[in-house]
Amino acid sequence: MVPLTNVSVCFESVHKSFGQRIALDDFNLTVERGQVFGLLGPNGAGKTTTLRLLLGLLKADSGQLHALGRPCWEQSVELKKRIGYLSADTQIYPWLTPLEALKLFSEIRGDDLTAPGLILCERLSLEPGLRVRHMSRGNRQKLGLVLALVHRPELLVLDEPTSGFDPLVQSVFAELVQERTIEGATVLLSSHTFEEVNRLCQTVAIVKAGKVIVQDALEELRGRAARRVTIVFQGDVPEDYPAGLETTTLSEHKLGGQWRGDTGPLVEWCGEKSVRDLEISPPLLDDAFLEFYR
Amino acid sequence: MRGLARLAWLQNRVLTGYLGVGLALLSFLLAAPIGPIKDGVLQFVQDSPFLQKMIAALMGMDLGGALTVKLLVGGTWGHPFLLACMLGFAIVSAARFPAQEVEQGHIDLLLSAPVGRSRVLLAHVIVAWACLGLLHLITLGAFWLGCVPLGADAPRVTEMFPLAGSLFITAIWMHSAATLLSCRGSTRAAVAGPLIAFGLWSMVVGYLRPFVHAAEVVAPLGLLHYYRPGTIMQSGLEWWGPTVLLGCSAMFYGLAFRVVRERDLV
Repeated sequence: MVPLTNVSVCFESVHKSFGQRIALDDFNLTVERGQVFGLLGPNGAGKTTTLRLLLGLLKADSGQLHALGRPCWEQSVELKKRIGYLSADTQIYPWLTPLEALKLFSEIRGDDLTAPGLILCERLSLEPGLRVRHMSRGNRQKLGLVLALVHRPELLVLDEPTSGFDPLVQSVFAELVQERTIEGATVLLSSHTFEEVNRLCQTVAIVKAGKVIVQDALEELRGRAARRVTIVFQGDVPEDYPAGLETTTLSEHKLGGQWRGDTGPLVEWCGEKSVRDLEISPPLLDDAFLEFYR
Repeated sequence: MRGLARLAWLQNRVLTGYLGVGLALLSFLLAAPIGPIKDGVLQFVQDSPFLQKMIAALMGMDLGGALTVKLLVGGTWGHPFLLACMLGFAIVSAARFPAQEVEQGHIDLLLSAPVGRSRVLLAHVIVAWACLGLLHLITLGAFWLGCVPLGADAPRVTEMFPLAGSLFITAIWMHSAATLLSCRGSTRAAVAGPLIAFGLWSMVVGYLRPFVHAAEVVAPLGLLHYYRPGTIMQSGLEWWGPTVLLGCSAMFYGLAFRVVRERDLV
């Protein structure tokens, strides 16, 4: 059990349905402070519903939801002073420019955010005078990111944040996320891209059909994931290969298969045999996640 | 609150501007040309029972042979275009939050800021009232200018204010009903559809009243039963109509604030 003071987000037995459709069912999630936490799952798994419950846009049917020590629904206004949110497909009033949006949201938040906002615009190569109606989806998403980050939130909630970003902006985005976590902020991001989660997150929860089916440190998941192994022998393939090796291909001199966990015993075994070539891939995270999805 | 009110104003300013110009032209042009030809027009209308009934239908009153120049120009305040503009603006402005915000996906951005839903709604209501008030003042000003050529026959300013006030209260009623539908729905069509239908029904029933007896029976179920510019000009403001409308408005706004606090905004 993580001490409550260390917890940024806590969902306990949360249930949410839309008419007959159950979006979240007995949903439990704990995000520790200072983490970059990935919420991974296929479309319709309940990721966006989770984030919207957190923001107080939706009301849970039952269960307990807290963020930064406050109940998400009852104290959503107070809570949102400390939260930054970026939705998957940010929609912004088309008649605004980034500069006008910063001024408007400064007035709404009661704090002048124009100067730090313009610095963020510059880092993301976003023109402050361009009207939203003339922006591409990626630029709209950049403006959404600026508005989510500009007030230096303690909790950053990002719903599929990099969709629409080119690789250059993705790397700036990763830098910004890293800077915020160094300052002590918690980042909760949803994604269905393994690569994004792999690059940014320390902890991952996999959501399927409205439930968290696994929550663990990314390193742990990596450790559990299989690696692809190919061994070519000088002579025939020995028959006493290690029990952990799940063979998939077998020919006269070549053995192919998958290996889970520590590779030490496998390398050791190969050292005892007359091996001509040994190839071990990095952990196949995509496959591991896909296994959970199925 | 200031930021939210500014946002609501930014959303409404273009429509308010265009409608202001349109209503100023309409009210001026409906009143101004009558001055030079008032005697001829009056004689022409008095000779035609059908036209008298038409004017009575527009003005919401029984003329009883008492048609005057003042009542003739007062027809401006019952003109279908004027009513459609005022009531239409009330519907459009009320549909902006939360229905339009949800429909267009701006709600995520707006409500990710530390603002309560009731506060956003209140800002929208206040700005809509201000815009409606401005439109009524513009219409009133242009109507007064249009009446200048009438000289002594022109309605007095003290007679015009109850007219504008009564129409304003009718528009507030429409805004309250639209706000309630907006707080329950997630599309502008869900707000505008039923209210446009109700507005048309009200106009049809109201305008048919002098011609068809059955229309008189169902008239209380239409909005124009409670807004009668002719009666106001003839015998002053009858308080029961605006009181009924204001009572209903207060109830609708109360329900709207309750609904928007509790609903899912997706």
